Amino acid sequence: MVLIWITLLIVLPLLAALATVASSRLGDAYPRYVAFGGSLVTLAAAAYVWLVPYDATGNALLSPGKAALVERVPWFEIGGYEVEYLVGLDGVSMPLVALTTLLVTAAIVTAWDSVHEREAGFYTLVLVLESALVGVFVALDFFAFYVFWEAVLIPMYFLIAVWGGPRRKYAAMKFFVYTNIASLIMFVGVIALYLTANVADTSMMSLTAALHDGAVTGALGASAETVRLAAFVALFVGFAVKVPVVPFHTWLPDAHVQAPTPVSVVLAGVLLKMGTYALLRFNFTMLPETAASLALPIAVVGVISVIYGALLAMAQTDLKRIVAYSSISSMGYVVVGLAAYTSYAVGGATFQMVSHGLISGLMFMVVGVVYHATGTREVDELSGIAGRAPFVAGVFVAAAFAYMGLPGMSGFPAELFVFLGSMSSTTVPYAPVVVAAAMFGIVLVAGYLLFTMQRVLFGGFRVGRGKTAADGGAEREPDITDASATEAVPLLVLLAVVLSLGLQPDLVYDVIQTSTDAVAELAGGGG
Amino acid sequence: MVTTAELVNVAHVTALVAAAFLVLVLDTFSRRKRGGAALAVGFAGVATSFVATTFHLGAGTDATAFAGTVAVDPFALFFSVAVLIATALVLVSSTEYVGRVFPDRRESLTEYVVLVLLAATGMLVMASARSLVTAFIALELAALPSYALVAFAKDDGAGVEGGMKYFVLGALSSAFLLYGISLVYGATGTFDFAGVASRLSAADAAGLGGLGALFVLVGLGFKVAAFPFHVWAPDAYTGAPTPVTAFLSSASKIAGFVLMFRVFTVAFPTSLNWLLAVQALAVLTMTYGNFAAAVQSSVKRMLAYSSIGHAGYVLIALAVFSSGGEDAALALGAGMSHLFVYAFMNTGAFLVVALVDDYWGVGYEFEDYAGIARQAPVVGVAMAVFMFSLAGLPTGGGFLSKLAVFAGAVRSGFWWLALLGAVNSALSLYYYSRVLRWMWVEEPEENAPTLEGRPVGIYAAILVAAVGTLALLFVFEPVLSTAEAAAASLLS
Repeated sequence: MVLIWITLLIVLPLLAALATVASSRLGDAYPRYVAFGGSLVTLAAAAYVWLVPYDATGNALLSPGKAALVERVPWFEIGGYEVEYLVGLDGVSMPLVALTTLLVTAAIVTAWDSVHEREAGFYTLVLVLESALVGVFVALDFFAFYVFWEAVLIPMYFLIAVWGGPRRKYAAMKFFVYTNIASLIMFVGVIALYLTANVADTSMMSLTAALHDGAVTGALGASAETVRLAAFVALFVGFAVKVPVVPFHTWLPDAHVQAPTPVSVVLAGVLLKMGTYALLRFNFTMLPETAASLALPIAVVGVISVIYGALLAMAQTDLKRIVAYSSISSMGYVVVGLAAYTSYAVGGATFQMVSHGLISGLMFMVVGVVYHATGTREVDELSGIAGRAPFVAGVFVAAAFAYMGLPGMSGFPAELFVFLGSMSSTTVPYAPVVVAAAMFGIVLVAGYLLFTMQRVLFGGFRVGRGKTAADGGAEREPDITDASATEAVPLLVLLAVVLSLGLQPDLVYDVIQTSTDAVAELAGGGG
Repeated sequence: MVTTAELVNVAHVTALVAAAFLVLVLDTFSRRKRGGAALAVGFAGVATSFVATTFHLGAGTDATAFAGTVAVDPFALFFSVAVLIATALVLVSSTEYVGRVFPDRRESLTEYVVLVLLAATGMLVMASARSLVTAFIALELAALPSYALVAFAKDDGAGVEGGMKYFVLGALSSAFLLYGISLVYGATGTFDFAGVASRLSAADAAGLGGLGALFVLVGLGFKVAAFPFHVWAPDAYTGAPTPVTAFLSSASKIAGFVLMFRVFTVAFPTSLNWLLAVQALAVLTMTYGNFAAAVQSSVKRMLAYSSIGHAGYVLIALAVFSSGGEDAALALGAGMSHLFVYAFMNTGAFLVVALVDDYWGVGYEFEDYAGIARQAPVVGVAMAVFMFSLAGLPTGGGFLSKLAVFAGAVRSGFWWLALLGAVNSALSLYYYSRVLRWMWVEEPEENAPTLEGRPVGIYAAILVAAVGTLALLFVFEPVLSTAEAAAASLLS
């Protein structure tokens, strides 16, 4: 039987995109429903693939025979290298693919209320983006990976540049330039590895095997070690921009603040995970020795991202900026976990990718609802939302608690695994100190989120800078409504998933662990 | 004595010549000079030629004709396919273009078609030339109709200026070429490429032979618009009717490259030290083309400079040439496949300009493109395909062909050329994406003109080019392997 499941997951959104374009010919009302239908079908297909045919039992790169549903078609041959269209799933990619399809569906529903211009184009681009994102996570040949990786940029650029806020063109261009330069650096790094490693094809498994066997030659007078180190740094920088890791993060707040809510959901929920996913696949799986030798600096960079991101978030007055900066902070935990190289640290880091995808998506959606209802995102201009919109406030509180890693929410096991796993790290010296420093980030996050909630949700009701009615202010109270059904349903669905992963992390963690344990064993092991 | 087999082998050239003369004869005897018939016959000629070319390519024809002056080998046939595709795209879009942009010159459409056909004939012979004399005559056959085509807008100052500049500098380049050929003949006593190669040695590097090779390089450098011999190109490209620009910057450039590749890999041994000169040309051309393109305010001029930049990438393929071996075949084949992809994406991009600038009369500046994609989304999407592919983003064949060029350079040990090329390519995204920003993102002005008419021919040509560009991302293997095999057979 020809396996086409994964290709189906890539093609379905594209077909939906075409159908969306076609439906706009009939009338402006149709594209949103067609797009929603398409994304729902893709979500259902992803769920089906996970539940039924998916049977991976190992890491796709380290034990290629144990990946699930591998599909390959020869693509071209260049200079003695066979290049293939090669896709497969394992415990790392399967949850991320599911996350992508879920968040895109939620984003499309969210867009019903927030996007009213050039709708057909918007939904088409979101679906094209979904296709590329799924491609990134399933590609197992570097060139296929790179094609999808770059293909993500194009719809994202237009989504920000056309449907964004007032400074959207600047933000979109900054995003495009930053990530494209990063891609080029990464590309050169990978090519350097392929040229010096003894491989016959460009699949990521062959490269991994060749690098592990030490089948690497030096080049241009540099030793094999130097080549590995240079390639590692190039890859790290290339992916760090996407994560983003401080100091490569400056594109992110601009992009997030200018992007419309549904795009922010996908940007924070999925796009950032491309960076950490690629770090795990390339840096930490292919070059474990180099990674282990650099574990301390990498972990320190992670901790700096955690703390600095949290401090920056504290200083913001715009709700969206707060969430954007706290994303930087949360992604820092992933970097720390990866560097620690223990079973729980790497597994927890991967779990954190999924968990943060859900929570940040939820958070951006709540902020979007508040903005939609009040017309502002400035913390100073909002007060007492809870009295008028209890549902929104409730979800806001729940999302914030999830962000803080409160038990019962998916953020708790994720961060717990990372911290516990990292404590016993053999790659990161002074691991307990590093972990303690990273844990301080949680305190900061809790601090600023509680403070923000207190100001925005509670107290006397007020929108704008005037005094509240309770203080005898003369300002007319704006009429704000609670979330509409189309706003509420995706919020509830995401919240339900966050809760179930918090209460029963094994649902996903067991799958992740089948693939991440092998990575952990490459360097630190155990734990 | 000309044999039947020879005639069969050059059928793809004869088909074009026959079509050109048929158009002229029909024109003489027809009363209503609408040009439709001329176009139909011309297109039929190109189609016949295309069929003959692909037949020979499929059959693996590798023969010489006319006393060894003309080669019908995979190398020539591969390039002929690219030239014919560009020619067909240009012809298809020409009736509507001339009808709208030059309404009082519809009668001239016949001449226009004939000139395009004759120029294309010259280009096919350039691809096949095995002797310096054939090469020169073919080049003139391609060039003379082109001068007239550029000056087609004879009432327009820019058109006349472009035509004049092109003619004067073209004549100068021909003089260089001819002088170079005479020097080479003086040194070797033969015009035959293989004969020249066998009689030149390292000792000739500083003598007549070396000087001759240098002059030939300069002459062909003009033809492919390599820096610093490019000065005619921006003005000629801007002044010419845009489909002619598409024709010149695609087909004519491809033909220049095929001749350059053949002359330098077959006739002139690397011991003449031409490699260094080509390396310098490659670096200067791609860098200059890129930076000049970045500062243009007109889309058409930007594309003109970008096509200079692309000539630089293709020159890399020749610059890393080393006699024989797989690496040389890969490098040369990569350059060939880039030109093949380029025939689609560059022609398509210029045809979009032809449609927007001239047919719809929107204007030449980036600003004039504001919001075009909202009114004509199909054109907007097609332009996105062309621009991203030209920039080397992996969403079109341009990514793979550039990758092949750079991979070829790295394989031959010229990693620094590949790196320079990659950096240039990354920078080029800036100006290519600018077009798309104006088309898709910017709001149209209040009094923006409405886009009148959806010309079927131009749309069809643009769509074919866009689908071709996109399809080459997925089916690149046949192109690259054919090109590599053709290069290998040329070098063996």
